[in-house]
Amino acid sequence: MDFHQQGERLLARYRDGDIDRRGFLGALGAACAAAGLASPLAAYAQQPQSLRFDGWGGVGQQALTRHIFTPFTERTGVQIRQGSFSGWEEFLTRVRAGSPGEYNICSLSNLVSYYTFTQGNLGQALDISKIPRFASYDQRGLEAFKRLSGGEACAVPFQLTTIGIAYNRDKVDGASVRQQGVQSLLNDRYRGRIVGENNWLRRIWYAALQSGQDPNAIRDMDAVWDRIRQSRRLVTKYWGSGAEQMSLLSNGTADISDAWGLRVFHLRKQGHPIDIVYPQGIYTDIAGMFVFRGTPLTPVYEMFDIVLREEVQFALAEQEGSTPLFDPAKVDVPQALRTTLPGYDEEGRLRLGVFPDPVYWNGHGDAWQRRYTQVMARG
Amino acid sequence: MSAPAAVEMRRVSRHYGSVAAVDDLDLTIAEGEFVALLGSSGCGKTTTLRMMAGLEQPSSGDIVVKGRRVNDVPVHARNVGMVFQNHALFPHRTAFENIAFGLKYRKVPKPEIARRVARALEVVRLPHVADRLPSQLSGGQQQRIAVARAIVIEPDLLLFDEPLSALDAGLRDELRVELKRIQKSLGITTVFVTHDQQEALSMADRIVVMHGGRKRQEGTPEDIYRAPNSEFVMRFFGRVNSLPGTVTSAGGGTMQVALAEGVSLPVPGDAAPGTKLSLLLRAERLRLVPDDGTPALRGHVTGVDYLGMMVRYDVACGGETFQAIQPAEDAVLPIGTPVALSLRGEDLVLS
Amino acid sequence: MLAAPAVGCVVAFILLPVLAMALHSFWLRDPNGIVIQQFTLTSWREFLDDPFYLEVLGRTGRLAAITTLICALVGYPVAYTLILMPDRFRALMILLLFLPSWISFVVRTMSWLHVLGPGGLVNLLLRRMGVIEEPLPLLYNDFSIYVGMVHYTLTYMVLNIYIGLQSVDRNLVDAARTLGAKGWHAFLEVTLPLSLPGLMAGSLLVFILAAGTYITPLILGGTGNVYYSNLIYEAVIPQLDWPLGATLAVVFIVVLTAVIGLYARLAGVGTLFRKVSA
Repeated sequence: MDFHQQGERLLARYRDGDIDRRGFLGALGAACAAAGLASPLAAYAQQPQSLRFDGWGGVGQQALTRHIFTPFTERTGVQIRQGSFSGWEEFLTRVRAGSPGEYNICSLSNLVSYYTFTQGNLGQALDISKIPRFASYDQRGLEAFKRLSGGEACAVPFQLTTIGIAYNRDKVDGASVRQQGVQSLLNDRYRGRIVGENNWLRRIWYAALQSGQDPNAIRDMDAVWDRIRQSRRLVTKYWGSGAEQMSLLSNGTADISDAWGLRVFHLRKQGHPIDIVYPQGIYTDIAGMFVFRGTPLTPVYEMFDIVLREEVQFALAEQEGSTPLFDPAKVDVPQALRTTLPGYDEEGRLRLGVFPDPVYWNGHGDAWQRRYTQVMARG
Repeated sequence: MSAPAAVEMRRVSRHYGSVAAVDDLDLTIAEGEFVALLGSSGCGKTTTLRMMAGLEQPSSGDIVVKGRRVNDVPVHARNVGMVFQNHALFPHRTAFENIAFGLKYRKVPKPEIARRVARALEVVRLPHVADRLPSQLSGGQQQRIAVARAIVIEPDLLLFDEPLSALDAGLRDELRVELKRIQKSLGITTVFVTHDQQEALSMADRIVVMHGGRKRQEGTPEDIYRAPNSEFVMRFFGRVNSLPGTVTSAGGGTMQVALAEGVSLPVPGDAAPGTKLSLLLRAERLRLVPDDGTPALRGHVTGVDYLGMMVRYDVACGGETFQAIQPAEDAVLPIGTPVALSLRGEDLVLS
Repeated sequence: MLAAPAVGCVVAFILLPVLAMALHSFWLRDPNGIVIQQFTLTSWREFLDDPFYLEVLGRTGRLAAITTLICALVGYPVAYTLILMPDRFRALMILLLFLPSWISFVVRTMSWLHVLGPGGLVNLLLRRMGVIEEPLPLLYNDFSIYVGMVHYTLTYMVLNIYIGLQSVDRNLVDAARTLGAKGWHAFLEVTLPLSLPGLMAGSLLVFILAAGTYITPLILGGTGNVYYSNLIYEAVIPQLDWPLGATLAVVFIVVLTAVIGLYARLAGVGTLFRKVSA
């Protein structure tokens, strides 16, 4: 305990410029020696020229490596050590179990996780003025982050996470889905052909919309649980991962599902007859990169200088289907991308849904998650 | 014709792939007879026994029991009692239940079962162990229960598959006598498979020596011991010396054979003078006597194996080493003692 | 003295972790999911006040019991066939039996999606043969869960029964037959009772494995197919409620230990554990 506190104090002094790097490492080494053990901190001290990045893995992370990490290492000499996770909750558990300074940067796909991370005091406050390229991005994401962490943001928001209702256009009438919106997911006509995400927050979100409520201010939870029960009777399988969602929609198990825009982008790219619509009030979230406490900031700002380049974001959009959150007044998204990118409608307009209010959802999280598990288990 | 034989094997063969375990075997066993099938492992004796039981099917030939061909009669309908080497008692059943097992399938009423099991236990002299599990019995007791289980069904044929070989020596002798007594008192036709010539000699009315799936000789224990029809059979019953000799004269069924300078013996047989022969002699028929200077085979003791009642000597004689088994009545001769060898012509067998 | 390393291992790798878990169940969790080392009965109260957890536990017990029964019924004939085979075929068969377990359990489970799915092997064949027109709902229901569970546990069952059967002396069957029992009777009276320890050991193992799996229902289960281990997973990973997860896990361990204890008593401790270790 003492040793960790000592290390953290040293880190804080180092960050505040109170101590130069050589002095910091020396002091850290002495502290390690005093503690008489090889700590991850010691490894960190020996390898100051590397950063750790954790993301969703797979081809998405390979694209980040190609477009961001490799150029970054070439430019700065700082190596990127990579890890991956399958859910942010699981990743959070790992971060907590790790030691300070072990994790540096991670993919961030929603506001609730940002809120949880910063509430847990895991974030490193960033000076956004050191990242001039961020000026060409929509500033609403940053403002939301600042509000949540009560001061400087600990993450850079530059992408949109989108959800819509995906359907097989050969089996389901698209006009009907467009007209019915989220109610399509409760349409008895599709019984046995519907699948959906197994996630408490989003299932409650859809149920709130289905019962005519504002998802960020639900008054009648009974109506919500009732809609979830109703959905439960119609749905064949609640999927747990994006990969599972893709296979259910592509192998003929399901004709309609609430779906991640990014995954539908890939399905369409593979030629599956899947369309997606973004109904009024649908869940939308902000994605970006989160910086953990104890991370040296100079290389981080350098990395964001690459991350936020227009050409990088367009390349990622084209290949991976991520939706960059540019300020439309400053950056013009090419028309070709507007017709394919998640979040854009058929006319090529970005259809922003509603962001979750992390304070609201975190406040109800415990009780609602538990109730959700029970309702899903026994109706 | 007299009454049909209890069991007859008519030209029976059993092949496993290209290997003949039993090869064209003819065998007749009379009612009440105790026959030992003797041979080393792999000679076909156990396969023969299992075919009699119905546990194996002959590849060709007939098995006839009391005049009836039984090739197609399944095991459970053959009414044979079988005792296995490792007793094969049902470990989850008491001695009583083990013995009653066969009676149950013969639809014997319960009180009758109790009576017959009790009697069987008395026959094997274990009236007090009815409620014990096999694991609570000694090795000898287990085998007696196995015998009781086999005889209680009053089988047409009692089959023993090396029943004594898993027991230690003392117990083996005791049970040998016991089995013989039980067999005689019940008069059950019995086939006994063994590789132990002592067992066969002491128990059987008749011995069938088998080798390579074939019958090599059959006869009473005395016949077989005294007049083996081959070196193979002779060697099966003990240690055998092989002596080189030359025929000097012959006539009238007897020939004079010279074994060494001045040593000549009459041997039954006919061969032209000058013929070189090999003569066989059991080790127990070769005597060591003090060297009194008369013409004889001479040698000296090179090895002594003291067996208590007997002593077995190795004697170097010329270029050969002979074995001699003698009663240990006199003092044991130390190694190096010069001796003369004494033998009788009628004990010699032509190889 | 000789048992010291074994006892040490049991303490270090089984007893201490369980105790640590038991301790965890009495700690406090703050709203952000951070565990504070301060004594509280919150998690235990949550468990005891809500019949939901016991209901799912019962449901899990039924799933494991039915899986065990199917495994026993399917596994016994397989093991028996193995025993009757000539030696070299048997070696090959046992190898084949083990072959799937070299592949990751998750991958093996997921492979059923391609067999049972609407466009999967079974439906494809049945449709080609003209037996059905619409695909049968073979996936995401109890059926697919049992298929996955039996697939996962059958090897352990077959192997244990096989070991049990192997210890039955062939002479015993021969003896029973010479005494007048037909093949079927000899099996019922001799082979079956004597191979029971293997069957019992296999059943215990399968029951425990089946009760503990959460991957199979997750991948192959449909709506509502939630079992006890899924609840533990839910509590620990998405809900970040380690104390509740620890409480559920402790209950699970206690219940399973009780099941094993009861079972050992019924089956006879000696024979059972001899087979388990065999």
